[in-house]
Amino acid sequence: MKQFLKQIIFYSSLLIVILIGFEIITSNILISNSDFKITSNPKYIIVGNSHAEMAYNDSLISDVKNLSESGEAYFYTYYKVEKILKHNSSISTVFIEFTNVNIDKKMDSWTWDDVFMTYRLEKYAPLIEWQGKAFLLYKNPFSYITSLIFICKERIKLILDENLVYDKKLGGYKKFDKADEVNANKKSDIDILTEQLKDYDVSNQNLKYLHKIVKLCNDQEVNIVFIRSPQHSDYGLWGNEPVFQNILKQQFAGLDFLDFSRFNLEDDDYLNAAHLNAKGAKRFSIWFDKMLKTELLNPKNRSELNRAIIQVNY
Amino acid sequence: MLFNSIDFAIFLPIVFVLYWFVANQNLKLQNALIVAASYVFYGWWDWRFLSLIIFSSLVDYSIGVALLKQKNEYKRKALLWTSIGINLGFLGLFKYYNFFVDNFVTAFTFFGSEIKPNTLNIILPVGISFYTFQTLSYTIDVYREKLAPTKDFIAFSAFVSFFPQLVAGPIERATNLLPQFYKKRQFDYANAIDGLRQILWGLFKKVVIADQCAELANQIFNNSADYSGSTLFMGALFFTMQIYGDFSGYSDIAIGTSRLFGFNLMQNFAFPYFSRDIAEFWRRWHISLSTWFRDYLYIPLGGSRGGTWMKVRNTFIIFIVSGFWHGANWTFIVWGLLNAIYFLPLLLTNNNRNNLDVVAQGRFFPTLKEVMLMALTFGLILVAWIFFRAENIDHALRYLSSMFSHLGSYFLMGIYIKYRFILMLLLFFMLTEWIGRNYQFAIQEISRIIPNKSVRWATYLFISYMILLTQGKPQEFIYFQF
Repeated sequence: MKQFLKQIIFYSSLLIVILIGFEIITSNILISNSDFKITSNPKYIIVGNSHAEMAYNDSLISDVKNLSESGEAYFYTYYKVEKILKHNSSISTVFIEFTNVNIDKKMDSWTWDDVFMTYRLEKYAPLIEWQGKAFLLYKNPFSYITSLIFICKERIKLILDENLVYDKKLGGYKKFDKADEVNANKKSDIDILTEQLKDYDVSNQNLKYLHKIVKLCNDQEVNIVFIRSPQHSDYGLWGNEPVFQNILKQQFAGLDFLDFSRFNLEDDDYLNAAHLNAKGAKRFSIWFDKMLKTELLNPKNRSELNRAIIQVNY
Repeated sequence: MLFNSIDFAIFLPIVFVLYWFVANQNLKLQNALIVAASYVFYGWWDWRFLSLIIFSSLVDYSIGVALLKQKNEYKRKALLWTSIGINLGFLGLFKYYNFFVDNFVTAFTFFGSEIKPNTLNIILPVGISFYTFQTLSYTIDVYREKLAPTKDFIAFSAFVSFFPQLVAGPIERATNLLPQFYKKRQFDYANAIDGLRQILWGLFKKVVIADQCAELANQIFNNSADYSGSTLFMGALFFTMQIYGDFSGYSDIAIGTSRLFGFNLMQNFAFPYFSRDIAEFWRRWHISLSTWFRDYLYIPLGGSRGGTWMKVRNTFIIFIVSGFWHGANWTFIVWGLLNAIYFLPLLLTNNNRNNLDVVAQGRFFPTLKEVMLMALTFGLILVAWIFFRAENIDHALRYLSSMFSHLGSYFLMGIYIKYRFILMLLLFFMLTEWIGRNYQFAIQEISRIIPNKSVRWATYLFISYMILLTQGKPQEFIYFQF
């Protein structure tokens, strides 16, 4: 039995060494060969989670590239923004979705739970530096190692295909035509989120990476603007609004925050309470484009902007 | 719990350590641990269906004990039929109820009467066909007095639920497996190492061969109308390799895992794609099921005794029932029927027991005749698998018709360019299988081919590495659905 166990341990150790070696080699290949240049040379990028992903139809907005992606925590957004800014000097402003869900404790699971981690590591491997990988390994070692196993195949495909242009791999506007499920979805969203609010807790982890994104933009002298995409009045996480406002005031005072959450839309403009469908995104994006052209970002015009939003909204 | 999942990779070492380091002093404890581990393994899918296994174990255990006491032949027969009725009743309810209802409705509608179907929303419990047949073998063997009924309920429960082979076989005979639960198992280094080797090869078959072929086969079968004949041919080939890799891979992992715990299960696949005729194929494919049907259905029906008509009738019954065992769909029945038709000429000309040895015994290269026979048999099997994989009969017929009528203009070269990676992989796989065809599994006697230990270990690592590289998210084994 002793001999058997010795052999098993030795063999497993060899396998782990191979796996780590694979991770190091393929990551380096991907990091050194990936192309993060955005071909359209945008002036503005939009990053965030599914709220922004479904709200900004960048084909209708000039000079904008929407790079948001569903379920993306700021940990991943940070590495994404870092790489994109490094390779795209045309970018002058980063719009980042900051909404009620982003302060929620569940953002921790969006960062290191197995399903999210496997998905992100598969896709964002070239983005995340070793420090970030060590952080994920520390937070959830089991899932990190299993993720490494699950992503091997995709990693090899990526390298063999030489398909390392990241222009279209890092998120983008997602179109949903449906509107008929709004009510059903609204209800379920509300039920789930209201349930979560009972023992509400803030994700300091997610906020820490938001601070890092702000610092990154400041260091690179790129304007950063917080945006809150339209949300239905029945959106369940409205309940944390006082906490949200408090964080905004205390931790991010002085930063631009464009709040479109009360943007005046009809029920059938929503896919569900948190997300716009294609019709809503079209209405909102056309308006956003117009505002961007009329110097939405000039702080001197902020009062005019607020009036403009109010005019539209109420 | 899937064999190719992280859950199982954690579960197996835990059970192994508990089994050999905690429960090794006591037979009862070893068996109890196997029962507990098996229930966890099964309950991982859906704990509610554990009640079925427990109930089935209780019924057959009690009937076994009652058969021991009962001397009256009529009452013994009644007990046997009670066991058969209950076991097949569950199987019928969960697996075939909706099929029969739907077909009755279709038949009545055809004759002009409209009836409202009363179908049930039933989930098929994983592996029900496998453990039902295993428990039935116990009762039938006890009834035939080939096996003494057990009085040890824990040992019997362990036999019914033994986790390595619970959900997809091999369907063990009580006469082989049950007595192994009566003796305390001792750790055997050589057997355990051999078991690990078999697990490794099973995982390779499943993850590297079957799952890779599955991606392509699914793509082609699901969009068959869009493809030319050559691509459809490749789809059928990929499915042929998928089902072999998937199912024989599962069997290898099951047998290998059993060896780690000191058990020996029967061989379930003996390199069936190197068969020289259909009869040989059926002696090499899913051996535990074929022999089950032979012993508990074909022989009781009269087997090959009696006249030609009797032989033909029994052959058709066996193949059709075997098809139906795989699932409640006409495609499986036609698949069984087709195999019966393939088998018939051999039976009628008394050539069904021609090829009992291993092909090219003692030689590396087969003769031209052997190559042609293997190719012909493989081709027939490939066509039959199309019915097995298709959504329905119509889909299968359309697939076959397009496969032979639109071969495409760039058959060989085009196929090579398009599928070169998977074809190279399949070539490597089949070559390894060919080299190891004299053994239980292809790499069992790898030390004869690669005597150098370091090179052998490098080969194991290479195989493990291939498994890791192609793993992706775990895919279920096809045979779970049966």
